Amino acid sequence: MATATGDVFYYWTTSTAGTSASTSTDDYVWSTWTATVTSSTSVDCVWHEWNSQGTTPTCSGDLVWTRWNEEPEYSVRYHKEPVRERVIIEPPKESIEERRAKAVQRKIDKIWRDLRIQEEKERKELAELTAQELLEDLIGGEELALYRETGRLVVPGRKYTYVLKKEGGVYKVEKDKIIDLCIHLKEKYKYPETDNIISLKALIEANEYEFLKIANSHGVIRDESIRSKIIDIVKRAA
Amino acid sequence: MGEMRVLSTEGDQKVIWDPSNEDQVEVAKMTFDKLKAKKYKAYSVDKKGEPLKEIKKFKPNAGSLIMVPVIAGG
Repeated sequence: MATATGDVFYYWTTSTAGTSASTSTDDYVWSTWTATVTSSTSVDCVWHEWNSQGTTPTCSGDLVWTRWNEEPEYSVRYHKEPVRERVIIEPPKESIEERRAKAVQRKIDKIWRDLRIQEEKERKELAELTAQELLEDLIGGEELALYRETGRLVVPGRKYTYVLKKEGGVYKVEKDKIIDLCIHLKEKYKYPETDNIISLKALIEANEYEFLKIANSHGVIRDESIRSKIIDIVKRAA
Repeated sequence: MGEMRVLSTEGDQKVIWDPSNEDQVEVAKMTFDKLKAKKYKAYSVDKKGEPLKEIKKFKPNAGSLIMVPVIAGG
């Protein structure tokens, strides 16, 4: 609150009263406060406003309530954060040429993106063919034919028989039950699917105990249609 | 001739060496040791259709080898 004449603070601090003031001839807060004590509502000062307007008056005079209401940042009553104005910056409008250029660029980007996707697809297909060549060097023709037909490779271990799925996952075939196992190359998705098959086949044949130790069991297969398909593949491979 | 097939994202990469050629054997051994340090497993292929066998150390006369990266449970 500024200390201009006519303010409560002014009178409080400077002119007549000070903080220990008792009376003042000026018709302001202290005057009214001390003169009328229990407040008269006829004087156009603080008590008048307080009594006539309630605690949230609007007042036009250069009085306490004016300051209180109009300059809340100076008020001792409460502290309000000043309202920040939201500035909306609109982008400059594009010309037709600019819009056309952007559209052409979008088309070029899409062509490049499609080319990259196509290249990646071809690279993966080539890698898969290379992996299948390696598998061909490891297994017999009949096994390979079954693998190409069904996407399943049957690998007999010392203890159990395993059906490896090309898309990932393994079935462990025990006497009466088939268990779903999850085991694969750590970064499986980087490698061709058949490389994953070769890796699992190698581990089963060389160290079945370690294979079973690494694999996580996802439970027994109870679906009869899946069971019969797996058993059929195992029979065909035998 | 010795042959090492290293599984990679592009299929397998071949390393071939002549066991009587010391330089080639040295290069093959270095590749083997480097991959073993990355926790690859080495398997020897005796004959087509035969079970693979794990080998721990490089042998110039091991014949055909397959190097497999780390396997994990899912």
